[in-house]
Amino acid sequence: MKAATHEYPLRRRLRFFTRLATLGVVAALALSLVPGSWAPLVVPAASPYVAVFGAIAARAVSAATLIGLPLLILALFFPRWFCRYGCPVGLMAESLARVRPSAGANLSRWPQVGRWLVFLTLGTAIVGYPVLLWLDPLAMLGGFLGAWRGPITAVGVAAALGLPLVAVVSVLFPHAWCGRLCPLGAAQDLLALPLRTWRLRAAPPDASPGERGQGILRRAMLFAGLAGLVAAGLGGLVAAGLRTLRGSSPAPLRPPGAIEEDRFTGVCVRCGNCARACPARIIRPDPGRHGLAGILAPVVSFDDDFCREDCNRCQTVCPSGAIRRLSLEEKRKCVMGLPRVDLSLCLLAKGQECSVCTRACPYDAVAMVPQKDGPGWQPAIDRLKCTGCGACQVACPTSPRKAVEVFAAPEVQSL
Amino acid sequence: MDGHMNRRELIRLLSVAGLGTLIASSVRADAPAAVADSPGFMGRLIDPTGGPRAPAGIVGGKVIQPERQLPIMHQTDVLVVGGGTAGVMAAVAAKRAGVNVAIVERYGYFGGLWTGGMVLLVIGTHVKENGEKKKVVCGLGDELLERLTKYDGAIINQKPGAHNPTVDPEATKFMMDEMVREAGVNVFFHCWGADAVMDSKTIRGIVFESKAGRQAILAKVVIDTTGDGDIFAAAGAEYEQRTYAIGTVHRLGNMDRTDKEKAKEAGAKLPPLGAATPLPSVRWVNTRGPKANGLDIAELSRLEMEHRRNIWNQAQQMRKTPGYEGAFLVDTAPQLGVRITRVLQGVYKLTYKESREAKKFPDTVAVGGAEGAQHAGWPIPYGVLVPKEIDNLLTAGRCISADEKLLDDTRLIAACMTTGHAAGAAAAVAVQSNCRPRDIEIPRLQKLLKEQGAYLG
Repeated sequence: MKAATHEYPLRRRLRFFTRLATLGVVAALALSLVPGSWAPLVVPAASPYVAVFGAIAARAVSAATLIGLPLLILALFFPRWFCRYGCPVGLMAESLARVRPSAGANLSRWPQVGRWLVFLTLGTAIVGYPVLLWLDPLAMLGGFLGAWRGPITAVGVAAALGLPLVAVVSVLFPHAWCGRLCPLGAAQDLLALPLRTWRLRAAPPDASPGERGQGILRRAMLFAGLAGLVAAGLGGLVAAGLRTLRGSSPAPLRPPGAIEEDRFTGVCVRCGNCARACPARIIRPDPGRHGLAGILAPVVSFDDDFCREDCNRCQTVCPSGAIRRLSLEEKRKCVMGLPRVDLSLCLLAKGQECSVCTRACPYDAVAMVPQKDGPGWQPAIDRLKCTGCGACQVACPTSPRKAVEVFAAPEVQSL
Repeated sequence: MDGHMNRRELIRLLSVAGLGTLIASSVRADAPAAVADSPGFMGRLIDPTGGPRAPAGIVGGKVIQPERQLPIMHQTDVLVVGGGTAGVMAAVAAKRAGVNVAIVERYGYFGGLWTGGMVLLVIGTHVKENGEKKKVVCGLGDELLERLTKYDGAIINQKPGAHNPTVDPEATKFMMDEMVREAGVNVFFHCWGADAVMDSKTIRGIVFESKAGRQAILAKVVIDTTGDGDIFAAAGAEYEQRTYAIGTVHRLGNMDRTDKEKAKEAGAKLPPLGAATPLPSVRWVNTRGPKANGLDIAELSRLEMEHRRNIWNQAQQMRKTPGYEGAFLVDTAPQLGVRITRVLQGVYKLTYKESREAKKFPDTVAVGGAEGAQHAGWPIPYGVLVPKEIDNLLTAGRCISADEKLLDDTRLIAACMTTGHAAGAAAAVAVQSNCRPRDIEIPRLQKLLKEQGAYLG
């Protein structure tokens, strides 16, 4: 980004204001100042890096994927146009670079980390486990802004940490983020390569700078291709390794409609949208209890509340497809877990007056049945009706442990 | 009676003074009434109770009750039918508000299923609001519970930080007697409310059965706290009837002289041993029982015997278990645990959903509690106590107007306390305002309830 120093002041001012305007739009969307539950989805989903790799990993093209298309097409024809005129994170990074202009790290010596990240992500996405999506600047910005929206939650804070990290990097190593690290910037560079190659080829063959350029470009393409293959393969291997790396603790409960557990932690970009969208505030970041791969990915807790049958907001705001978008009707049939009753704790089974879980169940899946080996009654769960929404667990009056607890579906089946 | 007492006391006094024989014989000579109270005599001749009879007869093969005039035993402002938890609260609330009150009860004690049914645990006294435990059973119900704390062995878990207290049934019967007596309510035990006295769609009193035959009590407002809605059903009010689990509570004694470890070592399976009561070493055991029609005497009779048999067998099983040889069955509850039968279709029908959303009402008269104080309180509107069409009639307790899922909350003692209190206060306001209960000024009722200590949210 050395070009910035040689730029005309007018264009520089223009770039400043267009990026400021983008920041305004992004803030309005991420802070939910725009009506519509989908609003926070737009910011991370607008990044082609998130949209494309998310779609590859999730094996599904959703409405969210389409939001990433405009910037993708733009990047094909106008290299890094978004960085210059749109990216609010770039604006921040550039501004902070002025704090220590003398630091001027010799960026040419830095490797193209961003490109490696893109190839790594491609490989991991193909395996279905794109671990690095959260590095996207728009996802980080969305997470940072969204954190100010609702009450302060751990997931909000975690999702907000990316942007300050970029700020610190920008002060310590001016311009390093945009020029060498940012995967979205690198993705745009790579997307622009084909057109640049074609243009140079179309230029007169005797033009020596062009020839040189062509040579460089050809080499760059070759390098990109080889490096891409290597990185993608490496990424795929790493991701495949990570996928098998599961914590020793039971599988976590994920938001309703989450894709298969072994891909979920990879596809999730940790934007925090789902946690913020949840009106019951049951979606929280995993502090690492379920293995390293799932750190900060959303887990569901039925400590205070349960998953409402008339709500699918987490699904409407997920930019990466980690949480599938279902209609309310489909969501009501979507199984997020299965409850298990500990009859040694259950008040009804102990002969007390309790029908709390039966009544709390929004799906009428809990019945009271006579005990086989005693005079009493006990709750029985109809697995065809139950979605694991947690209403029974929340309502259960026993403490400190609940007599009924919801576990991730495979965990219950293996018990 | 006063004259007799004085005479007897005089005799006792004189006997002590050594003049007993002489005076006693002289009294016997001229006052036969005193003879009845003297030792050595079983009783005395009195006039037949109930007056002349007009028995049913067989006419054309059918049993026909001839038309007849019923004696009016009593007239009052407010008549409470059923002396269970809700009835006692209603009677005391109305009397304290300054109107005349009579209460009719089929057994010889107050408390209904709480004492006679031995449902000793008061579930739902508290709720959780803003993360803190909050008491919603205030006013008369809490006064009763609080007064029990003055006695050793009368109540446990009635203290700050605790919820869902457990009472001793005898202590509770005693305290209900005290509160009713202090308030000055006319008490008619051993009277079974049998029918409504109707004037078109308006109730004017009730007919009740007793050893004295059928008689009537007239009142300006009648409160049906029979639990089964006997009176509103007789009056022609709209209601739903349901089957529900019917059980019998029993108590086990000597339970602190048992050895759990010994039983475990022997690998024996113990029957349910219930929960602690205020009495040391005594536990109470709830039985949910099968679903049945609580108004069907054949089913009730069968269940009485079936439950007692099961309980007896369980107790025998327990006594054969190593470590539990010294424990024993204290008693089975005198009243069968009928939970739900008739449910009023009131002016308003409160739903479970509304309760869990803590829906607010302009005519809130009580706040319901949470089983384990784990959710918010739910306002109970006045409309659930008022029948759709019948006038001068209110209900309270387990038969108030609620949907199926909410019945498991409205039937609990805590809700019976608060809705009973509300019905009594409302009846008093109706009498004092000289209007139908459905037309009373709600703010006036709410003011009275708050003055009487009730919590309305």
